Amino acid sequence: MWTARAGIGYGAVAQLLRAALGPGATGELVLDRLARGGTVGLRDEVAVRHVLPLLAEEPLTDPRADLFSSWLTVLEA
Amino acid sequence: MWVLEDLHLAGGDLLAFVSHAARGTGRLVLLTARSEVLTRVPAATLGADETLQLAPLEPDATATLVDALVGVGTLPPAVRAALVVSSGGNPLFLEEVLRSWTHSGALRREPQGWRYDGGAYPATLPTTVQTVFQVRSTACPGRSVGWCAWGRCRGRRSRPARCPSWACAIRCPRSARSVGRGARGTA
Repeated sequence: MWTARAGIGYGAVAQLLRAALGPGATGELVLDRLARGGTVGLRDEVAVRHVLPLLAEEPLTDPRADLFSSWLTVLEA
Repeated sequence: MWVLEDLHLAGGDLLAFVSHAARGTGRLVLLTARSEVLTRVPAATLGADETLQLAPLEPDATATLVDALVGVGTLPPAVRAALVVSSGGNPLFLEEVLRSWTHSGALRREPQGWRYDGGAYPATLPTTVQTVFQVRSTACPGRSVGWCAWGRCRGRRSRPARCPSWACAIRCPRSARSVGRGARGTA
């Protein structure tokens, strides 16, 4: 069970991802998680590119629907 | 299973994500919120299969919560009873009043437990959680230092507190976001 507190922005999603990935998530860790979830491919690299900026609280520039899909993919892997 | 708390504090971005996630299957998401969130986003949009409305606590349960927080017999019976009535069964109100009493020194934790020195009967009890925050902010010891922060609560700009130090940061009552010295709060 992963718990997050809502607020302005996507901080709650970052909380869920940190709970899922553990502290200090790296691109390799995200890829490893996706691989264990059974998905390997170009989409995984995109997911990493969408997840890491969120965790680092950096600006998110990609379309929202793409970000949502990546975050859900990692959360469910 | 995901638990997302205080969804009424969520901005449009997060609500959009929750709505997006609700389209999928195979995940259990528990959302907690004040019912006002349903005026912004219908429960169906959030993918809520079931909405459970929590009623205020009954007086006996409220009194039990008081005892659980500060210990049985810590508060004089009249104070405890007044607090139970004033709270209207709102646990947040209860916790914040007790917290304000710890800030004022009327209630303090000692090695053997909580101790109340606030008198036999409170002269006045706040009637809303917002009032509790307001009382706490005006009781801030260094308010002559000047306004230290501007807060914005859901588009309403206000001066939430005068406070002399970071330790005296208060929470904007509508957004429940901490606003610290020198910060520009946005919520």
